[in-house]
Amino acid sequence: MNIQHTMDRIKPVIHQLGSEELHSVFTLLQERIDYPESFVTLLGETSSGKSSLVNGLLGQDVLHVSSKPTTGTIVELNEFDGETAITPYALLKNAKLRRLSPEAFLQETIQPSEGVLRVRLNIPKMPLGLQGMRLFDTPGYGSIHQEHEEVLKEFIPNSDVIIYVVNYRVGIGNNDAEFLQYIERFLQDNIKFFLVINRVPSDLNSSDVRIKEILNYAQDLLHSEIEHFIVSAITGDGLKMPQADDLWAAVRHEVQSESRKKHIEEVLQDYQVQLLQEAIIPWQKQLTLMKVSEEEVALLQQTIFEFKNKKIKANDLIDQTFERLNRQVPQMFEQAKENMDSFLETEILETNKWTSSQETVGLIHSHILPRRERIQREVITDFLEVELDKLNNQLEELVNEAIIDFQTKIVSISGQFNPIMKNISKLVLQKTTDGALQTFLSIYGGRGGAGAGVANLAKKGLKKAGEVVGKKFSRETHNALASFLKRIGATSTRNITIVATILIDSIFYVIEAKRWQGRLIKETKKGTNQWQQDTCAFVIANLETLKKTNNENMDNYFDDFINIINTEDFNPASKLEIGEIEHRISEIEELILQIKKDKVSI
Amino acid sequence: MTLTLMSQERTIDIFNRYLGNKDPVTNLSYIETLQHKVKNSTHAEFYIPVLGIQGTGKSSFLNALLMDDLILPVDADETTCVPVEIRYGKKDTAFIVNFDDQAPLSIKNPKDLEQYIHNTYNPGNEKKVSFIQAFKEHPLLENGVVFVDLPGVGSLTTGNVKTTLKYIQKLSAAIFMLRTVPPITRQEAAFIKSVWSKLSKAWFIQNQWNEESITEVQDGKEHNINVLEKIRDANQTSDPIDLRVINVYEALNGQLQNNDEMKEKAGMTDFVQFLQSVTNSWSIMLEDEITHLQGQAYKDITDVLLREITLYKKGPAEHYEQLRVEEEKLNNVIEENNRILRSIEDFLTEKQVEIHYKLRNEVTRGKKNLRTDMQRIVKSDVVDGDNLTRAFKECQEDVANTIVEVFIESLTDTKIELEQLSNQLIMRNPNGSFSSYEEFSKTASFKFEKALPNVLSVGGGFAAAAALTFLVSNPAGWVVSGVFIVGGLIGNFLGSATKKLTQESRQRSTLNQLEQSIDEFTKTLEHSLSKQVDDFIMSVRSSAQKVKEEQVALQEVEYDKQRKIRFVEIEEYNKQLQQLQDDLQYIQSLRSIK
Repeated sequence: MNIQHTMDRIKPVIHQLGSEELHSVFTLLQERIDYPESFVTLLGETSSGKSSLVNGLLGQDVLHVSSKPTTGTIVELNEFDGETAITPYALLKNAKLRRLSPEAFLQETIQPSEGVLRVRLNIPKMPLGLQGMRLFDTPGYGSIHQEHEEVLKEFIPNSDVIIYVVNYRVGIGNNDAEFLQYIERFLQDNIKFFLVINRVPSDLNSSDVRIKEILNYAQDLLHSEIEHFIVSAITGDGLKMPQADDLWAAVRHEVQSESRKKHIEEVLQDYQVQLLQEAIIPWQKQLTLMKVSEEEVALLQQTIFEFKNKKIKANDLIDQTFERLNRQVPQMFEQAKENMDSFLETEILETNKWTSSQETVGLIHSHILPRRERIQREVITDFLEVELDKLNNQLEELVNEAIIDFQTKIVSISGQFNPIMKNISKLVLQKTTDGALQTFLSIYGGRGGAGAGVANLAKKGLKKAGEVVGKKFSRETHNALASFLKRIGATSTRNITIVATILIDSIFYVIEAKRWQGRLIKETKKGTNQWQQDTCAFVIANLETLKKTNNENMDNYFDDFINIINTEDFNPASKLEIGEIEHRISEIEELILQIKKDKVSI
Repeated sequence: MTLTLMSQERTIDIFNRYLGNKDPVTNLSYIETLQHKVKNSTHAEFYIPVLGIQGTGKSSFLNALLMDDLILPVDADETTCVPVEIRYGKKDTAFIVNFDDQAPLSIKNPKDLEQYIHNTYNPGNEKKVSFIQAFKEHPLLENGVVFVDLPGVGSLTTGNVKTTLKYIQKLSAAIFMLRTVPPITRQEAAFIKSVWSKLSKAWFIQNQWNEESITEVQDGKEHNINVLEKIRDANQTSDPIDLRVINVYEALNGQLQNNDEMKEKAGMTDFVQFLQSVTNSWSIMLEDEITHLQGQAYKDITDVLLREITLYKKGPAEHYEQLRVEEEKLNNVIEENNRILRSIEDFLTEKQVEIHYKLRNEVTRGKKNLRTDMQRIVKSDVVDGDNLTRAFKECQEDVANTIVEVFIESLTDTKIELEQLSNQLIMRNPNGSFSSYEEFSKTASFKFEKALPNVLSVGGGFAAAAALTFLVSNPAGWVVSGVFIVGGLIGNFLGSATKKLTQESRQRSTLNQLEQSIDEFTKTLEHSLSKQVDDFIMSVRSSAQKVKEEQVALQEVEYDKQRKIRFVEIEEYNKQLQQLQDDLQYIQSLRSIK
């Protein structure tokens, strides 16, 4: 049975239930099945020629290109057969779409106005057979900071393919190196990385020394072998629409690869199962209530009350831990700054042979400062790792204990609760740890919705694990922790790079040898101070988010459990007899089994 | 009193006749091992090294604990890594400086010590100072207690790891100095984890600085305990964690101003009392241990003799039956042990591949990082000379440190798992009964017992198995030599691009030259660490092989013994039996004296 057939069979099941919520989930899922997509992200320095590549692909001058930095916002290319021509929209922060005039489109791409998240181009038909691709063209790394936060947080981890563009003449500069190192931290095995060396003189090929140099450096930075593409420069004054057919063929191959399609299909099947499992619950609940006594219901409520207390306990634990971290982290940054300062001061005072100013400043900029930053920062990230890891373990233990206790108690009230309890654990875990299907689809929208954020369905699905309760929980939190620590590392490095760059500028004009040291020490302290403030603020803000997520997770986790079994405010969906309900349940169960069988067979 | 009995010729003779097997590790027999322990314990100095990375306040702590002035220089550089031993002694001999290659030197003025322990005057310990002795008439130093001020263990690649482990090998206890901000770092944790099983007692002191508030101290303490518990759990023990907060600075002030209240408030008085009680009872504990060991020895030899006498008294038919039963028992044990040995083999194969893979990955990663770091530096116009050398050295050090961390972590984890496996090995008691090695080692009341293989299993004829478990519990040697080699790999790079070239050509030429050095460095790094891993695994393998051979031989021995009794001439038989009974009587008479 193919996936659409299954949807046809799921439809009446959802319809019978009369739940609006599940119905809308069904509709969204259907849209996803109609239009499976892969995400391709274009990255690279300002003026490396990303927008030209897009123009070349579309065969028309859609994106504004000039020698000056052009793209100030993310441009999304989206295939949509509802349009007859390429049509631009602004995607607003409130998740709405606004159609743009050609002038407004140009304006928004260069300087996005308040409230605009990114620009979307609806393309009636993707050229070169690139069906199923959503393409994101991003601003150069040299531009605004916040924009990149978004790129890194959302686009990189959600990408199926990353195309990194380097200008042949410029090579891999410091910004690129930093950016590639940054990317490396987010790269997972399932992201395909393509390096494009752009604007290569047309008589050169892979054997060119410079091309080799660029490729090798990129491979070192990313710690892996990478595929590269050479795109020739277009000479003359006319429209620059570089042809990169090899690149797009490779992208197409990737986007439409059987394994990726299969993967998406599997994810969709998982969601079908989840939807059906949710559809069983109301029936089971109704059935159970018809079978148990009033005293038993009262006992059930009592157990739920006890269970709720465990939630409070879990949240208390989270609060206490983060409260402590909020105290400790600033102290550690203070200490880190002091260590850096005293080290640098000794360093500067001991250097009396300022014979080559260029070289010494270079050493501080490229080695001493970044190294000190790394040493000090690692102390802090290691510390956070231990602490957050411990919290995860404690929470996991607490939750597992609470649930086992809860289940045992409820089942001991009456054996009638057995079937519903069995379904609950499976469902709740999927819901909370994967980000519920509803949440996912309603936030990120199907094709019709605006989709304020960017979330790749296939990537989300990847996080699915087996049925084992604890493993899944801890892997999820562990992943979150790892990426949190990586982000701190990346941000801290970036902050020190800014400091180092300012440092060079500020002492460049001080020629008098006697004043150098004092001035340099003063400037370094100013710089490390800035680093401390910015990085610490970043960590604290992220800790706050992490705490909130943890709290929310706990709330969702416990509440889902409670809501499903809670008998208060429960309105039975129908007045069916026991036998009829049982029949419905077994129908749904059969369908679930069928999907699972199909999944194995593909 | 009992000690003298152990050294009587007849006693020694009896032990050597019936428990003559030699321990393959030390090549000492049962009685020799015992004598060794007795001798060690009577001359024993109780070493308490104070460990911790630079800046944790080790020297200040020792000054506050033992001295009435700032005797120990507080800013000794960890790169010189000269340990200072503080022993009981009269005041007028202040310090003795010991060298690797010349006669010791006596020093009166603490100020002069700087010449030997400060990096400015003795860079990289070029004066070859091996250690410095200080003397002090202090009650804590009675009973042979020696405190050691050890240079920091912050950087894993510097030579001080070797010095530190030397003290840990002969140690009785250790004090770890920790900080509040930052609390235990990953490197500190890696170090503590690798030596944990070697420590009989570990006390952790969290140094509180004056500006640190109570909340800060509590927060730091919580984290420190978290980390220590994790290490303890990884080592699968249940030792309680003894962590105290001491304001070393205040304690020192209190000591200098002779102000007891200050010392009390700083948390020092409590700790001094605690140490006092430990060191006072130290000699008693040692004596108890020796008495216990001797009691065990008498019991073992009596068991052996009784077993032999019973054998002699049995008739031929009974012999046959006995042989059959014993053979079956032994066969079962051998079968079980072989199963364990097989799982050890499998585990080793798996681990070897895994660690190699891990190291290779880390080295590849490190190499790339080193290369990109150097690219960045050279491109910032640092193209030759001292600055480039220094940058290259430091970058190599960082890469080496990360890899060494993986190496230590891998070996330590392997060790912990191997220990669990080998603890299941079944040994034979001298009285002929069997139990797992874990049961055996439980009978040792002290961890210092672990400095020698368990003598009981040697007595039972399972010497090779005892050697295996000892080897497995003790990979510190491999770790140290691995780390030591890595320290030696970090090399200079001056660069020799001529100034005549354009800046870009200079950069290119420097990078080309660097490439070779980077390649060589990382290759040697991987090779030498992998070799240490291979050597360790190979020696465990060959030990396991020896256990197998030993078990087979053991069956033969048993068989021979019984055959000898059965086919001996009646005259000889009677003589032998008489001898056994005389020996038993003699041994029992010793026990009654005791």
